[in-house]
Amino acid sequence: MPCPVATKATTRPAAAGWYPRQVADDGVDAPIDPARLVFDEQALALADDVWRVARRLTRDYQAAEDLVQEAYARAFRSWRSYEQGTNLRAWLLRILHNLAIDNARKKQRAPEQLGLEADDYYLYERLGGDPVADVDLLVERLSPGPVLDALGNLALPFREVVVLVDLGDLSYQEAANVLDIPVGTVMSRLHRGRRVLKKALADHTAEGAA
Amino acid sequence: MSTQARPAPCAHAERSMQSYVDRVLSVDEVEVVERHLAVCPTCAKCYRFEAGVRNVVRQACDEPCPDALRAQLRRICDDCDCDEIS
Repeated sequence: MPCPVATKATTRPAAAGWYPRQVADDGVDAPIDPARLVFDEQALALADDVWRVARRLTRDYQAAEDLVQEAYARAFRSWRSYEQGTNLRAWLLRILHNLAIDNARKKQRAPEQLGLEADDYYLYERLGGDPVADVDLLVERLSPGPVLDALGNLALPFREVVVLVDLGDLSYQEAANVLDIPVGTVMSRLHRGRRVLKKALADHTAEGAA
Repeated sequence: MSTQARPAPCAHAERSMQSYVDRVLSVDEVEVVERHLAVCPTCAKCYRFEAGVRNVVRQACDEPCPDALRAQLRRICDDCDCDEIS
């Protein structure tokens, strides 16, 4: 649905305060809104953060690329609904999350189950942690491959909370707004999700050492 | 070992660990936890280990946006002339 409120040049203005004018389809000069240019740069600067979250919410690279492109296209279209001064990362991640949910519905995935969880000190103890253990050496035994596998295998409702808080750097409240769930649910899913993650890491890492 | 099998201060420290590492405890709660960590090397190590695990997860996922996708996002941005009235 084209809405010729503003037209955009394909080149960015070199200095703040200046912006190009273009002739719109109806022949009337329409200036581009400078606030839109500010928004564009702010949004594009967050591409790494959005990508990291998308990579962990989707099963493969291509799906993550599609999701990020779709999210940015929607963000640029609806940029006026973003309120300057609020957390843009959270705003973009909400769009990303909603699209991911839509895609998941299209595929009609079965509701995902949570794996087995253990208590919070389980991984530490399984790796041989004791009062004289060198914590840094224990941490070094965890390698990226199994971490990514464990995260990928985490049921989606738990994975998305872990990803938004631990990778997206959102607060509990911001994650609750993105997911449209109560803060208490964010906390319980986060804590349980991390425990499942640590259980999976313990099983993998301890097996490897045995 | 289950939470119930730990001495009460250790069980309390374990319950508080995630909130502590996430920095969402109140000043008073932080004080209670830190008093315990100062006298309990086991819990202190578990806390350090937890922070280490978080770092490992972050590092494992630290993958920059591919250049081709970044360029594509710029094109999407430049091509988007319309405002969606929401």
